[in-house]
Amino acid sequence: MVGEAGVRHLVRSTFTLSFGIPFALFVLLDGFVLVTDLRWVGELGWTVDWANAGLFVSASLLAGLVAFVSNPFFASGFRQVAQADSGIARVRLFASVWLRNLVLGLAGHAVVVGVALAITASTGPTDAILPLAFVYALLPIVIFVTLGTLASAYAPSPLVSVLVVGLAYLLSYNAASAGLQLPLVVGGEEAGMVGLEFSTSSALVWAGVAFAITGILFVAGLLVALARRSSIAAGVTVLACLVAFAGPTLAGLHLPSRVETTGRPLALVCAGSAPRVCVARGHTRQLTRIAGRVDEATVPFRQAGVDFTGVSLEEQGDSYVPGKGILDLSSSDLDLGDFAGRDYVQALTKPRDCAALWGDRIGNGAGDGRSATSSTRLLDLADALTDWGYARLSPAGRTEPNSHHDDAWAHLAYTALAHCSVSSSLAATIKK
Amino acid sequence: MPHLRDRWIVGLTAGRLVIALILLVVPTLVPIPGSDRVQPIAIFVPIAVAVPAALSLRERLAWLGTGVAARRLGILRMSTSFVADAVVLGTCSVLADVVSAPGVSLSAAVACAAAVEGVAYLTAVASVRFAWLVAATLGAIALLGLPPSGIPLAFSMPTWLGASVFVLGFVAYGLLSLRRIVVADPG
Repeated sequence: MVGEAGVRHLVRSTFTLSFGIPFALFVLLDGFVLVTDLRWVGELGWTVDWANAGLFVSASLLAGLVAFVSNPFFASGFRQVAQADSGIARVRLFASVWLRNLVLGLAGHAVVVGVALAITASTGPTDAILPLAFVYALLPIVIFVTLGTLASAYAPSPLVSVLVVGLAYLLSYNAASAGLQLPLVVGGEEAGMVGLEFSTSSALVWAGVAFAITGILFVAGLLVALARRSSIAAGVTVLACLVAFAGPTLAGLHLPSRVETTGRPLALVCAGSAPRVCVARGHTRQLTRIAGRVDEATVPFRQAGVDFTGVSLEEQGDSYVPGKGILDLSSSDLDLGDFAGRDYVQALTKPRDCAALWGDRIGNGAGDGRSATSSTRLLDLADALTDWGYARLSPAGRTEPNSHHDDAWAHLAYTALAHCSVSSSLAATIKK
Repeated sequence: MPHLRDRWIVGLTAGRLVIALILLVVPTLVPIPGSDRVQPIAIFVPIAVAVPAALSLRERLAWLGTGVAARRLGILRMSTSFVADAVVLGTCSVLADVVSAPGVSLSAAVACAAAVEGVAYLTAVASVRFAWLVAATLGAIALLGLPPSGIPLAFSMPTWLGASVFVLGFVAYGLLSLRRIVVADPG
């Protein structure tokens, strides 16, 4: 077995700069992705998923860092000092170093995720956490920790550590572009997780593939640790990498989508009246402000005689729910509330339940030519009405108003949009 | 016959020059995490230039210390080393000005590479061992962009800043190296 001196050194070195600096660099890179975009603040589920997106680059670096911090333990000199030259001792040494490296990766990412969750939880109301996001985070970490440890066991040198970073990034890049079916890119939903959930069956497939890859690399690491000839170690390393990383793709595996729509109506929180503005529980930080800006945007419409009583603008998540008005503001930006003035006017001009307007866009609409014409007319009219409203609301930023568009026209246009029907005569007024 | 260390240094210098030139010239676009936009492959210039440079620092130090009996020779070799770096960065910079990519500054990628290399040099003042780790981390960070523009750091680094950090790092590292030579061989 690994001698007492070896174990002592392994444990002691974990609390030295040799281990601490790589750990800090991994945390720095892993955490940096968080500040590249702050839209995730507000949604706990998206927070973890966004932090996981950082693993696209940080897990690649982790593979090299792991190889780097492992190098001293696989040098022949250490084996003598640690009395780890017998077969079983080499196996235990590999397993011990791998375990320590895994702790490095998991602890580093846990720090980043913990900070991100704390930011979201401490800055306002939020939604429920999605536990499977944590499972996904494990996958690239475990795979790349094993790859880095294997590489170090084969050739404990800085150059190999650098090459491992490059290899790991190439694998991640190919996984992201679906060139290789590998469970390495595990986060980064662009539009938030509202209306979405992680699929349990998909998670099982992803975890199963990751477990198989890790197993192959780990066994290869043990064989390399046992190998007395470098040619055998090289052969095992190359073969294991080929089988582990190309195997799933060559076997025809297709990793299923990690997320699926919940299919359930969103739990909404509302503010304002005439119109009411309603958003999902994870998007309520700026709700009062957004409702206020929407209310300001109603002024020109009210002057034209439009009545917003009973009108409700609701966030729709990832599915179109008939019978509800739609809040036409980017769902993923709701917690930032950083919308242009025109966006609020536009949210008003498409307020009603209108399958011809929303169905195609979200995926539930009919695809015949008639609905396409109707949809185009509705969209053109909505754009024209938005131009009219914004010109009245904000003289500084207005476009040249159409001379035919007066209050009466606006009232007609709004009513037509509310009923999802544009007459030919009204359509003729859209163009100058 | 050149010493192995010399070949190693020359190889890493020539290798990173070739890789950087390829990255600058090839118009491939790659996806970047945290962004829904693709970026020119030149985004990897900082990491591709700085990491091999940092990796060769230990060898450079050893090269500087090999058989050096006088400080003058140390300065000469340090200057050679500096010129090699300058040739790599300068060639890339000239090419970056010629080659253009839509919406990004390839010159900034070279400036970013200089900055990352400079920080690697500064790290080497404290510990040569960690220099490549720092270069790899910063090179990876350069792939990412900060709000509001979202432009990756690799494409938004001012030339003056990259050049300043590089010169600062090199001078600090050079002074340390010469001091080590003098300490090792006071005569």
